[in-house]
Amino acid sequence: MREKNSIMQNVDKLALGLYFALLVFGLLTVFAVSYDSDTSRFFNFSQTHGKQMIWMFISLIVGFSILTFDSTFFTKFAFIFYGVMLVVLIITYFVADDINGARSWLQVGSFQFQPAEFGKTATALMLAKFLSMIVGQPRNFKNKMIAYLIFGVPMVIIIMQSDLGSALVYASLVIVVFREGFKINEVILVVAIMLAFVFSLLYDHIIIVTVLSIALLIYVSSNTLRLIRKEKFKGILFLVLFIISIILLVLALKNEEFRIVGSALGLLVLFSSYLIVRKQKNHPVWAPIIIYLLIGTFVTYGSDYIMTKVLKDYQAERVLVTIGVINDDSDLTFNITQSKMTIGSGGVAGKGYLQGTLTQSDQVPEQSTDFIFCTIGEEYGFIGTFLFLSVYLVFILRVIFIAERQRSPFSRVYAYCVVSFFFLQIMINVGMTIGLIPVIGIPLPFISYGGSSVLAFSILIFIMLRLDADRLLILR
Amino acid sequence: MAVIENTKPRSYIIQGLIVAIFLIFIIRLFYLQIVDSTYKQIADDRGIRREQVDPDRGQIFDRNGKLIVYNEPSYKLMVVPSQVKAMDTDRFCKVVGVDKAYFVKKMAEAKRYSRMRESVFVSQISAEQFGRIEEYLYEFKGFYSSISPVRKYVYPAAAQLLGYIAEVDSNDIKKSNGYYRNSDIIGKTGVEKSYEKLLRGEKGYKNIVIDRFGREVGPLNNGSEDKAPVAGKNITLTIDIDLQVYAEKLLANKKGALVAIEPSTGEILAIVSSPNYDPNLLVGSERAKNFGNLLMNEELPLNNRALSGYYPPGSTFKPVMASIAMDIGSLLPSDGFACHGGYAMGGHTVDCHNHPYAGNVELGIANSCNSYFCFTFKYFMEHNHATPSAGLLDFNEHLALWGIGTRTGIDLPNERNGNVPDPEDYDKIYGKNRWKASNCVTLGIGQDQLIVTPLQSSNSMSVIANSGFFYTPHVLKFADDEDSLLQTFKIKHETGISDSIFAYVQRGMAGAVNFGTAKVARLDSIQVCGKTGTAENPHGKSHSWFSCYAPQINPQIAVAVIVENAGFGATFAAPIASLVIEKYLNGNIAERRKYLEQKMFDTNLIQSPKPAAEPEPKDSDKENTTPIVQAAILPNKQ
Repeated sequence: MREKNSIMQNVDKLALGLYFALLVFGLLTVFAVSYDSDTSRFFNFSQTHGKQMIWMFISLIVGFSILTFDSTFFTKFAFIFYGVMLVVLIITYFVADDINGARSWLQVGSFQFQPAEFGKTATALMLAKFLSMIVGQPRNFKNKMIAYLIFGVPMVIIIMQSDLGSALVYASLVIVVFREGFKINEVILVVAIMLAFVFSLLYDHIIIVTVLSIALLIYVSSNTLRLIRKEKFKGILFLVLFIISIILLVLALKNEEFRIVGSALGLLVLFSSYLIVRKQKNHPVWAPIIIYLLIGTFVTYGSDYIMTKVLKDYQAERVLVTIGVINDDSDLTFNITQSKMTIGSGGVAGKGYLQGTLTQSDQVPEQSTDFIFCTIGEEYGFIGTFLFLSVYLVFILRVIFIAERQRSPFSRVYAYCVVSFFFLQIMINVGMTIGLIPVIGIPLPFISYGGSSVLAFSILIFIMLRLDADRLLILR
Repeated sequence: MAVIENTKPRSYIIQGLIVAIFLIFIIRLFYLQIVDSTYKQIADDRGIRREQVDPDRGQIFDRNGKLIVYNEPSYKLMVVPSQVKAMDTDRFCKVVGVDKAYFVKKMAEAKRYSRMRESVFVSQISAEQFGRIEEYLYEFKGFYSSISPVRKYVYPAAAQLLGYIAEVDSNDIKKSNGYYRNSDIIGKTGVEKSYEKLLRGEKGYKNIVIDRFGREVGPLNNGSEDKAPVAGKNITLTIDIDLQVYAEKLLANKKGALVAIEPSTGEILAIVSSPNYDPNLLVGSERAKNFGNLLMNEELPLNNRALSGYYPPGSTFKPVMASIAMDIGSLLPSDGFACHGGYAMGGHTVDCHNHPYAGNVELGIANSCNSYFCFTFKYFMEHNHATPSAGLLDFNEHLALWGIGTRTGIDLPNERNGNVPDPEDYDKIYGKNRWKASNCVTLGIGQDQLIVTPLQSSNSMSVIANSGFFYTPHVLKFADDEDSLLQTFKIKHETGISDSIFAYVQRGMAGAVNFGTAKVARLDSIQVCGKTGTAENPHGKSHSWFSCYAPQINPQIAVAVIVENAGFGATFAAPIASLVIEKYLNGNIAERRKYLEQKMFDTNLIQSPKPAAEPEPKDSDKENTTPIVQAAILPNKQ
């Protein structure tokens, strides 16, 4: 009993308070969306806000029971959670029904949940476990690959489930490995590769290859600086040839007629640049260049191959529809127009709670889930959105603060995972509703309607609070 | 080595990144909610409604530039379910003229499609009826009017060729990658289907600002976010609409088909399937009822028999048989075969009619001697072919070059293959390699399992008229800037048979018209080359066939006509074909043939008591040994 009290004393009150505030605010907003002046009562458990309330209570019960666990429970079981998660994700891919083009929902009895939401916690624990295990060890290629694979593997499975939004959230964990001291160039390269992989389905190949090429150029240039310092002429010649070869390769991709000649010339120039620095010791640029060539080829031809040959027509179509490649453009722009109009119509102070006329006339699609930010914008105006985003920002900064005060790397990494997840979901969700980011379906944490999302994020937060309560211990 | 770098400063980079993104969002929100006035104008209690603007469907012209199909406005009642408030449903039903069940059904459909977007509630309302509805429309929130064009047909003809348009079904929507929406219009058959992508144009839309009562206030942002529709392309067909109307008149009240092709180009001049219907029946408020009637009609007027009707070619096949037999050398032009009233084959005889001795191939064709072509087929099979199977395969290969037994590739949907039997077909009947030429000798006279469509028959006439080649038959003459579509129709399909061989065949077919079986088709000023056919039909009276082209020198038109259950080829098919030729080449019918024209107009073969034994033969043996297929037309997949 004493121990439990001491846990409650050590729990971060500010973070917990902000969590409550967001949760209640979310419930009120969901109510506002489903509100209809004729029929709605607040305590009606058949409507969305009523169901959301039930989920909130479940989340709180689960959350506070997590606080009674021993911290070492999470370090010890990280492997098992992670393994179970992978199995469930794969099962989901095979047995899930198609909902809005994605196969990401698992039905157990009458209960439906989205494994990708809970997988975030398992992945965070696993990454924390692994990165805390290799503290003090050299950061060699193998260790780095394992770290990337820990969130790369679930990400790929989730992409296969056609749930692009969740996959991007997993990708946000590069923020964590960046904080843990992985080389910045490598992190940029990994981000570029991930973006290339995801966006090769979304956008024209040429854009991706260009982005990829720029990332590589930055990386190689920074590495060549050392060489230039030593041997000015050779270094500069190498860099010039290297840039020419990359430009040739990109041009070759762009022009159909130039493709063979361009690729050949590009590779030739690339090879001659290699001849220049061949004698240099430990010149570190070749591995990423080869990776670049492989990825470039994959992006250009591989994703096409997968779409046309590996996937059946209807599967490919579903993937494309989900990620928005095949879609009536007018429809997408209409959604964004509606969304921007709803937010814009709030003005400075908004129309007042439950007074959102556009919200109530169903002007915006998916308004209780992906587009819930519109209701906030309409009913509370700029003052409301400013305060709301500020609360979120304070919450995230508070979690970073918590992360930085940990003695054990395990807890620090875990808290940074929480930061990454929250940051990316808010960025995508809000960015989409105000027309800064393409439409990608993803819930706004604690605000959007949805049991899986609320429960999963609550678990994520409470584990962090529990670990933080033991911040003076070193957990392995 | 393992120097642990202090990476704490990176925390500040991360915090900086996060704060920066939030700042960008707040600036953006400041702009959207405070600075930008675009959305202020519509801030109070208003919404946007998006209306799809349908493009005008392309018009269709005939080869002489005569308008065949155009558009006329029609009214629709639309509904946006989320804007429908409590209302007097009974009154609504009375005003609009629908019943309660329809109301409930349509409302559920609309909700299922989208609560926010509009769906069609009642379509194809007449202008007069619509005026009445519009008067009361203000009482019913969430309902709007919309004008969209409907198809109108200048001539009550060419229904199966043109096809019809209809609202898309779920399958069309699924296949279109999101182009089609509920209640969009799509070409379902005929030219409307083949050239849907040209005709349909590009959809537009407009955003309309509405007030809290759902009334239109005006366009959003002065229409700057609207998209104007792009009208569909007009297309010109190869059809001569006057000839088409005339041919349909000749075939009226008869079951059958007619295909007229310009041999030098492959352009279809007329393509008739009878019985047919007035295409205007499938437009307007009676559409559903009329469509139901046409669909249920057992004569299948919705189908195009010219492309999908299955008939044994009968004697019209003889010129083709003669050509390929001479080509491989199994038949010499001077060969004569005695005919003693028939060709004895195993237990029974292939009967022949009474005619002079067929002393050479020209006389064989002119007199349509069955024995002659049974021998011709037998010798073809035995000529340099090790086994009957090899012979039959060679036969198949030759016919494939004529477009027989395979789709011609015409630019109309639902064309069927016809049938040329394989060796396997006979293996099944007689056992492997236990059959020989004499078992299938009636293939030589266009019977047995040989099946052609009227289009293929007409196309084989093109080959003879051209002395050895054809262009894929087609109905598209041109469409604005879309010449690429015509490229495939410019490929010459060669049969590889020499001109000199065709000269005999052509003379034989001229003989058939001048002194042989087709004298009724003789014209005073034009040399018609033709071949009658009387296709035996186990289900009833024989089908009357005539395949021909004219003039003999520099042919302008090739025609194939079939009239079902009409007896000899010379009775109905030959007069009809010759009248079509005369009309096309001379523009009018000679005085001495007027009686013939009137007789064709007047004859009604459909109302006469139906031939008795209509049901399919149950006895499976019988079906195997007399594999002559009744004009079997697959129902269109609707």
